Amino acid sequence: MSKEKILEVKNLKKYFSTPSGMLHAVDDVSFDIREGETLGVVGESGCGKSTLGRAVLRLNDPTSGEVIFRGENILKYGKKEMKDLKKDIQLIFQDPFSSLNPRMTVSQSIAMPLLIQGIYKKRDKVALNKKVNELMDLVGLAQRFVNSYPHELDGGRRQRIGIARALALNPKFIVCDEPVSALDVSIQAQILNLMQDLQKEMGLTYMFITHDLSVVKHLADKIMVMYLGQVVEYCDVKQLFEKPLHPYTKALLSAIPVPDPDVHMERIILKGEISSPIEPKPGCRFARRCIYATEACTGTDITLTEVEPGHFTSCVRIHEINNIL
Amino acid sequence: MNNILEIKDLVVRYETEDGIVKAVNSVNLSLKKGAALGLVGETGAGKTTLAKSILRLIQWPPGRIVSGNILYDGTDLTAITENEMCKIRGNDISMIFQDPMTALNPVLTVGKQISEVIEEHDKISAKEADSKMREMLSMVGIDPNRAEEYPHQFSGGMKQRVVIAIALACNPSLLVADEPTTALDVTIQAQVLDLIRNLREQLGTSLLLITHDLGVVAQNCEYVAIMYAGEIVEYGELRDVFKNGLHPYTEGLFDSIPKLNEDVDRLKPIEGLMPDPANLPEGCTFHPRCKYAKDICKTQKPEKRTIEGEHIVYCHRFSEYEHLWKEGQENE
Repeated sequence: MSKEKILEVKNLKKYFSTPSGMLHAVDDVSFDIREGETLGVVGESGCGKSTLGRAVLRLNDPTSGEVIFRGENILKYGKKEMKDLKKDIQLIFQDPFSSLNPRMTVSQSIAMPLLIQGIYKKRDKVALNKKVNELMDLVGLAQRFVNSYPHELDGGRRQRIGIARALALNPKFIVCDEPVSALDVSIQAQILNLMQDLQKEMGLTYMFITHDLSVVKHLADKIMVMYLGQVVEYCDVKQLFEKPLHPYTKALLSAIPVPDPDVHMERIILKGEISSPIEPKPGCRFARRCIYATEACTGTDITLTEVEPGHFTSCVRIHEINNIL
Repeated sequence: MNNILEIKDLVVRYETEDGIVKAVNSVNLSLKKGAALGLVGETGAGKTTLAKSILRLIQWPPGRIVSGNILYDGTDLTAITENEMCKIRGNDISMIFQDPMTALNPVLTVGKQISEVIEEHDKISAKEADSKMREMLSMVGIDPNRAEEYPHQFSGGMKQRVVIAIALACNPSLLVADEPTTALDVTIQAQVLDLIRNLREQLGTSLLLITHDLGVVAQNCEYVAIMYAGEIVEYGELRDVFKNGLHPYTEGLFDSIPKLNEDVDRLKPIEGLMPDPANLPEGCTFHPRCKYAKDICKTQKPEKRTIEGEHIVYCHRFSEYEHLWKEGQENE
């Protein structure tokens, strides 16, 4: 398990300024991913998981913090270095309908990154077409779609184009932002299998952002649960599903309906809804909805601490709640 | 009469310039009084069209109910006048729509949108309707003081509660919920499903729950119908279908989903795609994707076959042509 750390994120913050104050989208998040592993980032809408993914790729420049990719802080990179870096890190978007240019054919979309990075020249048609065909084979897109436009294809095939495009430059690290949530279950399974195969074949590292815990459980090695811009629990997938510690994680797990009439989860119904991320008050962000909240939970910010080996949570009452010494 | 809803040989089509879309093809379905039936299927299976036909909300052109009957408590909804239908809609049968963001009128206060329904059906004074509306709001867990606010001031989960309050304002005996929680986060979904369950217990409402989420069905329904390409392919009590699912499509659906309570290394997706409803394959509509398909499946539609009690499946493997299917297997 001593694979090298490919990505290290330290105290990353991303604030947006809005008319009513600073919106803390990602607030002091630290984690690392080892080569060939998959980190699942889960949370509900508005928890900052997509912003985190984009901040790691510098699609939104972070407010502060460090993103260290293979030992170098990429937040210090200039324009040219960033362009080079894009060969190694890529993104698969959530919505296969809006993330493809409607006026480009399948082959044009896939060829785009190769041309931008100057790996192939436009006049070098034969070699470029061969590479595009290889990529289409790799993601299981039939050659007959080479000149099709996105509107002619279904969601699953469109998502395959998105994957082929992300793989074109042979990246090492891919941020996948809800890649299967827009797809039907039978198609979702096809895409998940494809992503697993590609990871094995090409030694890819994934940061997999999703709201679907069952997908994360299936794919990820490590998991990070976010709530209102902060990490509330971070550990191995096995630990999280066998022994969730944070009250929010417990509620989240209990809320998922299990497709088995014999399994009846003890449901923890949370009161209220996610509060506003604009100028949040210090203290635990989840306290307002938490059944265990006391005065100790408000006032001062709570930091992520290692409760058991490799199992981090941010809750001051974690020991009392879970009876750990 | 213990079925509140009986759908008999219902056929719904959309006649478009590009051809006839066969959205619902001879569907037979019934719902017992007080029970909850889950209707499961993927995008384009015809679930929403089926739901809308029950309330006669299919717009012509391009869509219409071509044939079949929909019996609500013995009344054929396809035969009555539009005026009579209006009295039933919202009063006896009401619908929760999928997207709470678009189901509400943005320029009316949420209170007005609820009291409107009550005034229309109960024929009571505006003042009485107002107090009933406030009662409804607190029943779905919204502070009645927010009645004067507009939909955009509410979050997604709150809006869906308002939609539920509208649907339940006149104590309907049948509630048709079309993906009521698909647009919501899981913790909010749990709140909304909990609410619907409590209301059913209090008011004895029957429920037709349309969803693509097998988990939601397992935790909320007593009966399940699996729909594929405009047809019901399997129907039965929850346990029959979930524990002893027979149709290959049902099997494929269960193998496709990653489960929280089991470990699987690799998912087994259903190969291929749902057929275009304007151009359905001959024979069994599922045969191009079916791993068990034999010659007979390509030419003949499978008949209804009752397995045990109320468990029904439409598949040659279990029909009277079973011997032909078996011969096909031996020939290979």
